[in-house]
Amino acid sequence: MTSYYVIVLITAGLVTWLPRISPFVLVRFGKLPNWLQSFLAFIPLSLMTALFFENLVVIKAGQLPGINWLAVFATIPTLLTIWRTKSIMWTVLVGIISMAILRAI
Amino acid sequence: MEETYTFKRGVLDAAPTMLGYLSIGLTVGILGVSAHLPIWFIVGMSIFVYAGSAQFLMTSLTASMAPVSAITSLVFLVNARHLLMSLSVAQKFSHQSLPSAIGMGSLLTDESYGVFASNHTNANITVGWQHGVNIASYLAWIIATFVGAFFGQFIPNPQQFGLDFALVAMFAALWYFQVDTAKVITTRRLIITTVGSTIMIYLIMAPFFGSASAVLIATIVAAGLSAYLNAKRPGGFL
Repeated sequence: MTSYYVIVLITAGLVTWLPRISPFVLVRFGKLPNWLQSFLAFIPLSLMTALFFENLVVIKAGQLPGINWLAVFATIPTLLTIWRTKSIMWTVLVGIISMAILRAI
Repeated sequence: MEETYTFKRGVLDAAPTMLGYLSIGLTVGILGVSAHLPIWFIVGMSIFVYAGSAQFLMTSLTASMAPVSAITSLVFLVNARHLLMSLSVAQKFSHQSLPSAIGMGSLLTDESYGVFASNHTNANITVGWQHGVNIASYLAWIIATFVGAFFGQFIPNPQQFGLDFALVAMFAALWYFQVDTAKVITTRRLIITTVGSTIMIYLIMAPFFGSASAVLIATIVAAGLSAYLNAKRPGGFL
């Protein structure tokens, strides 16, 4: 168990650290090719879409995906909060409270 | 009189970021212990990974004992955006020693980049000031996760309080910001295409390859498709 956690820390640490520092080293040589910059520019949008959407459905191997209604309902006030406040802090808070209320009823 | 961008001024400019980090860091800590992860691992993530969305992701993945390869590739993808932020900071501070540059890159986050971005047009900002912003934010994050993990032990069943939804709420917020930022680089139609194609590819792939792999495939294919379509439209870049 402990070795599993240590390996995860090392590999996840490395793949986070390398993209962070490499531009600081590469900038001494030149710029990234345009096609790569363009591809990288779209990664955050498609990735956040996938990570967010993943939580709204229920996936079972070999079956059609189902809808996680509880998460969908809690998402509505959550999205309204980020739209109105632009604050991650308030959004997380409203999300937690919405889910707590939905579970209680 | 000229404004001076000292290290200390950087620490002060990081105050709003530190406040935000305290609350999100607490949540990361509480969620970590509720998922039965050891405290050293939770704080270790804050020290060695130092990226909120990746840590939420790692919390749920390690709790379900997901394969290391899946965790590593997802964390890489979630954090690949740092490459773009680092590029813009590195270009601004291109004249600094290599150790200083590596230190600056290591502590770059969405939020510390935000502080940089709101000051970078000022010709007087200094390397020391950016280090101040970075180091203050980093320490606030580590302390907050530790405090959250420590006191989280005494909360019996965080799930019933909806704490597990913090991750989804954070992803929803980050997704909203991405849609908002994308308006700068592309059209509304292409944003809808990116979002729509990601969801469709994910839904098709997930029943066959599992959710984590489907996220990877959908992200890469949809980003590639979008970059291609963006290059073809008039005024698009590539």
